[in-house]
Amino acid sequence: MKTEFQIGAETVATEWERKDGKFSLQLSGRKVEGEILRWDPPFFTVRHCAHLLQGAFYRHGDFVDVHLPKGNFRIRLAPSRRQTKGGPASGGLSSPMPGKVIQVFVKSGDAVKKGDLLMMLEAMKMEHKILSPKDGTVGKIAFQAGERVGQDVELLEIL
Amino acid sequence: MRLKKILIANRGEIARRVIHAAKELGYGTVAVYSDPDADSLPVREADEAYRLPGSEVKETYLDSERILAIAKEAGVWGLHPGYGFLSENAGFAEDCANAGVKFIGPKPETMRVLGSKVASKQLAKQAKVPTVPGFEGDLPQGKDLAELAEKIGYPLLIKAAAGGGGKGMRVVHGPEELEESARSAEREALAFFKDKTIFLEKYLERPRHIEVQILGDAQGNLVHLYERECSVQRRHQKMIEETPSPSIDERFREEICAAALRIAKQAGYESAGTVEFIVDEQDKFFFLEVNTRLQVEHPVTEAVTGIDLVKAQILVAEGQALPFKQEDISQRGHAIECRLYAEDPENGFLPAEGKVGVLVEPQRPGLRIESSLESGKPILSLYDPMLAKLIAVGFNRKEALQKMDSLLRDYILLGVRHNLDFLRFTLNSQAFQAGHYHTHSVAGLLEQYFEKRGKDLPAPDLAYAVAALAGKPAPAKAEGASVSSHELAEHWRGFKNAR
Repeated sequence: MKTEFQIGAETVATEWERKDGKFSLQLSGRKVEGEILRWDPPFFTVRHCAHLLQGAFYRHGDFVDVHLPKGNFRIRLAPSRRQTKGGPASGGLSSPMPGKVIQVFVKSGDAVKKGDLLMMLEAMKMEHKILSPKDGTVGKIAFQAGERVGQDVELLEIL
Repeated sequence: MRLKKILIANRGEIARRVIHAAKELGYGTVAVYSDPDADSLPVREADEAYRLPGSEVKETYLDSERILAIAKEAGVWGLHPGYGFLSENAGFAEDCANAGVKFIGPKPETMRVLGSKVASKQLAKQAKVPTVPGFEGDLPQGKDLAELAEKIGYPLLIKAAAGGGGKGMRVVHGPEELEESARSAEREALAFFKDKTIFLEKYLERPRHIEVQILGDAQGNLVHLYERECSVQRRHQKMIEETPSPSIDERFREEICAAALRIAKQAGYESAGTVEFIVDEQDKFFFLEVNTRLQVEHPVTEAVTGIDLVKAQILVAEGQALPFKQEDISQRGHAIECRLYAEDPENGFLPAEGKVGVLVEPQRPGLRIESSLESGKPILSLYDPMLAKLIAVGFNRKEALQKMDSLLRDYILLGVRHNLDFLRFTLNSQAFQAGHYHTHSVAGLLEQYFEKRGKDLPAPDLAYAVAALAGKPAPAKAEGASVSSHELAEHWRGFKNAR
């Protein structure tokens, strides 16, 4: 079987196999293998590197959250083709977190300098400043004060 | 006789905590809920539940008029505000009194004095308790503000006079940041407390935060329930609390608890409260503020004293005298609390949304977990990011830390990003294990954490194997899935660090 992962900016293809209670995976030239003692989603018990490990996983969208005794990890599967298109346009600034726009300091067509305050977001307890990453002109502004935004949503563009 | 009822003007784990205590005392319980909370645990656990239409806090849990109208409609005897929301709103406490609803907390006039950082500092001085150098009073604007700031000396701390929990708080390193920080603190203060008054204070570089739990009744009896060490903080939010404090000796403990009692006495304090102090590197303590409510970290005090603070609040509100005296109260063993927050370690620990996909809360001797998490429920950024309070109690500090470590290792919450691994890293750090830490220690630990795990937190190979075995992902949604480029992510990181 083949599964592609998104690791940082790279897409990493892996080959894996599950047979006779054992699993193996080729990952960037390394072989990961072990024995499956219990596979009862979301819980599992495996023997790996001579250790008996209990864990859990949760798959949602392109992500698999994995709990292991050493910690919690979010694994990103390579996004399906149609999803990779249509990211933010060049110059677009996306929201770093879900929250609410509390103030917009610029309007479309304004000239801005790198570091200028463009927008103020608020989530849960804190305000977060949106600063201009470069000198340029404000293009489209997607949100007004008072509107809620999700994470990674384009807020405005600097042309 | 009809069952006496208590309305709980809060949500989540603290609403549950109060519901359980009220039920133990034989009260009927009334919950209120915003639309996203309609199907939450406290709503189901209460005997009655009333809707607060809407989802934003301003139109729901902060809508004092609507909540009071519900209190009257439900015919409640008392109202418990929990913490946050209306818990420190003296005007609301007064409205409750006028409406014949017993506000379970201090007297409104006490709340008013102590709720104002300016008036409370004056009160501390009258009680002969040292305060941090700073400016109390109406803050000037423009040039006068800059001159005043220069006189106190940078770095400075701007605080909302009515604030708490880091809201409306800003550190100012130099004059160029002063004006904007002041204005943004005012906006935040206005949004949260409907009061934009702010004040200035000298900012201590390596302070510890130690607080003392107090409890008083209408008969004038006052006791302290010892201290809590709360120096592990991030963004002015507490992350780990413990009691007894590992950094003080018996003499210090006696002095700081006596100082807290002097302040409580000066204020004529009734109900549960917390006197917060800041401690400098020379082990000098300064009065910071009094929180006129229950604290998130109250369970550690309950664990070592054996006193249920919520029930004590209710008994005192009934007009009963405290059933114990100072000499009946002692610290036994050691307790520690970790706050589980919904925040993304790969995104600068900014608030995270998600869903409770998998949840396993371990049950073992000496552990107490308070959450209102349920499998399948969404985690929204609308409300406080705290998901759960994890408390471990041991015979001594070492045992409490061991129990907490195993709890953090075995607590499973998948589907939303959270700080469990960072809590565990902090707990096991040399500084924390030795008990030598201050309120800025976490910033340094955060750097080490990323260094150790790698900037983008690479997962172990086994996690990839599990992800592969987990099978194909659900079909992707066609819309709304924009992927920000690496470069932009770097920009964001830069902004965050600059904050």
